[in-house]
Amino acid sequence: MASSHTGNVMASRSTSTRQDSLAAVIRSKKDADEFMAELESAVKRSR
Amino acid sequence: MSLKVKIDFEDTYQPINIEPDFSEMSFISPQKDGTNRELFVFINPHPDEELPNVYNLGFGPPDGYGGFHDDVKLRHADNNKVFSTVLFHALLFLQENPNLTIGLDGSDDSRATLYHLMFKANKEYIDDFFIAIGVDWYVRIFRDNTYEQDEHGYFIKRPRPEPFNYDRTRHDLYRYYMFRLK
Repeated sequence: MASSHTGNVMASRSTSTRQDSLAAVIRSKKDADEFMAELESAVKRSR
Repeated sequence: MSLKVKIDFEDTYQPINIEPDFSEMSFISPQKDGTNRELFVFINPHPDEELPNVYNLGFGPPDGYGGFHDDVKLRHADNNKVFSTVLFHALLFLQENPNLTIGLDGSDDSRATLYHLMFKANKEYIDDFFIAIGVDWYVRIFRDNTYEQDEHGYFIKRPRPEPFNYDRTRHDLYRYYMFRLK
């Protein structure tokens, strides 16, 4: 089972207990919103 | 396992089972020892609920409980066909969900190297279907040259996505890999 930064346990289909690396560096909703905005920007630059 | 993977969506294994929403599928991969192994492919929501439009792609042999082992070393008879099958399934999923992004966790060097070389070696081919993104972690430096730290004194790592830089070698891996439908 993987845990998010909020401590909520999220179901994972993998048997490994490895935490997702990206989840480990997203500390808040603000972090998540900033990351998604930068992701959209990166996608636009790629086109 | 060879780290050089050639992707060809015209040469994939047939699914045994496939969910109507393409979130799950399974196929048989012949092994080098002559046996056959079933592989599950799962595309699941990212574990962080603050990233609702990011999904994780994982695959491996079944664990007998509806999930899969993603840390089992298998000796596939045709690595190219295995990865082409997995990536083709991701393509079908993204065609149904064009607003979503799939993430591949480069959590250890072998995984990150595999993903990195797969994108690099298949740039022209994959470029017709996907937009590849690489993500590094950065630490903020303040004007007084101190680094941003948390309450425990650890540096705060912030993810920064960028268009995949194909000039980066296997000695300059990203921390996380993502792709979206072109």
